[in-house]
Amino acid sequence: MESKQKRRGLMWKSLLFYLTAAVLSVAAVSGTLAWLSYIRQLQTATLIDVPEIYIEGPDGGSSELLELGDIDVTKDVKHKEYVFRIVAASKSGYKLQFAYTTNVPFTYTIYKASENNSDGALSVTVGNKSFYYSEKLKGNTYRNDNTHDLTYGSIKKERVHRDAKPKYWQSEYIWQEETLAYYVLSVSWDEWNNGSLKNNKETDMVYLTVKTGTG
Amino acid sequence: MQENNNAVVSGTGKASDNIRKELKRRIILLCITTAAVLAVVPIATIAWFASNDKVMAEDIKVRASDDKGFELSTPGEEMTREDLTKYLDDSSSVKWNLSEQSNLMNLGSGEQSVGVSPGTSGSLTFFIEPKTDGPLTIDCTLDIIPKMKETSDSAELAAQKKEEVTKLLRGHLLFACRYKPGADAEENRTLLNIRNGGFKIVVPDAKTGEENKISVNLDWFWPYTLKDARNHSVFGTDIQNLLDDKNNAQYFYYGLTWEESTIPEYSILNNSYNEADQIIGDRVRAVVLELNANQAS
Repeated sequence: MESKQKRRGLMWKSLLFYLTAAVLSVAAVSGTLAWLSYIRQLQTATLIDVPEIYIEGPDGGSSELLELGDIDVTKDVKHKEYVFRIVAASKSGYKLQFAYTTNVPFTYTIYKASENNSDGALSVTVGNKSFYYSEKLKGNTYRNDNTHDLTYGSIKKERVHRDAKPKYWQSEYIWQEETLAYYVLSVSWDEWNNGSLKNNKETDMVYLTVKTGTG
Repeated sequence: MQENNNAVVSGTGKASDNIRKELKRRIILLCITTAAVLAVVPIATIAWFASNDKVMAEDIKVRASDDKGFELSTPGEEMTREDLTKYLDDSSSVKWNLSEQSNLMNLGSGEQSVGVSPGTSGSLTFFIEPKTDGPLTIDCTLDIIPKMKETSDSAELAAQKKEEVTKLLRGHLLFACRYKPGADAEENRTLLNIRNGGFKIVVPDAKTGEENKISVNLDWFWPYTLKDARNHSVFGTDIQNLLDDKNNAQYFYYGLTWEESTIPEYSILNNSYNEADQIIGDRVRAVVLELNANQAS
């Protein structure tokens, strides 16, 4: 009797053992399964670049370069060139914009320029650097009354002289692969321009801007 | 008799001793067997983990949870740049190895901190290896998870900005899925759902074997402007329909009031579209792309 009881006790013990083992194995396997179900997932990451674009002087300095007041119209050379460059952090598309008033009879032309002398028949030297150009940038000029309110607010249209109304020029869309692209703004004038052009000039305002995108 | 009795008594004593010994032996055996079973389970699990670890390191193959269904694998180079790996979720993800074709700018040593920007595009590839012959349908999602730049915004405002920018990323960083559902089949191309990044891969006659794996490309493009988005060579019409739907405005445009049923002027849409790109650039440092694939039940 005693041994029967012992045998039963042992049976129970071994059964318990097996049950524990089974529970443990199930736990281990199901834990693994839960892990397995995750791996139908792939991940990668990348940085986001802010579209950044600047106008700079030819040496990377400030772009406050359009000092038209210094132009001496009495000189023999009837044009003056200003070099600027567009700096883009990554490949960028943009339009150059040029807004100006027309009190002084100047003509403004923007050329694509380069440091490579095979790229143009004309040249301009800034400091010890020369820039070569010949290709005029294509674009369109607008002057309309739609922008009057933005420029002059409540001043009546009739009270603003035609030449004080800004003209807007915008280049065609330019795609820039390199970090730097050089341009030349050429300001030119005719001889005396029927006497209207003097060194004591009227006030004009010019704005050069760059706008990203095609819009 | 006495002796016999004694003998019998002593005999009985020996018999019960034998039983006890036998029982002891069995108990020991039981214990050993049980211990062995228990030992095998963790060893197997560890071995499995170790081999999977290898998979994660080399990213040759990603085991599916059972022998049925499919496996995912990724070709290409592992992304090791620390400024990017820090954004990945180590606990559950497998790195998506990519080639230069992905154009995500995340390979190599990464001394230059360049990434993706409007006007760029590329293609991400992964393979599906069917584990059984027959029809296979896989439901996938591609999540675009923004990792925000640090700000001094309140938690509430930061969360709101993140939600806004998550939607804008969905509408601006567009993905299309491209694969051949069979060796001789035409390529299947679909734009991913802009709301949840969902797409389906349907292979009517999947076959097992390395040579029958299905190469899936996720072509991505971040249109430079609204005009570029509308004029996409393959998905132009699909994208136009999305862009002109007021209900999708928060995925494409920022700061746009679109009250009436008529579409706002193009110049207004264009500005809001550009503004959205600016907002993405201002707020987001990096994005994590997370692909989830599950066999459709």
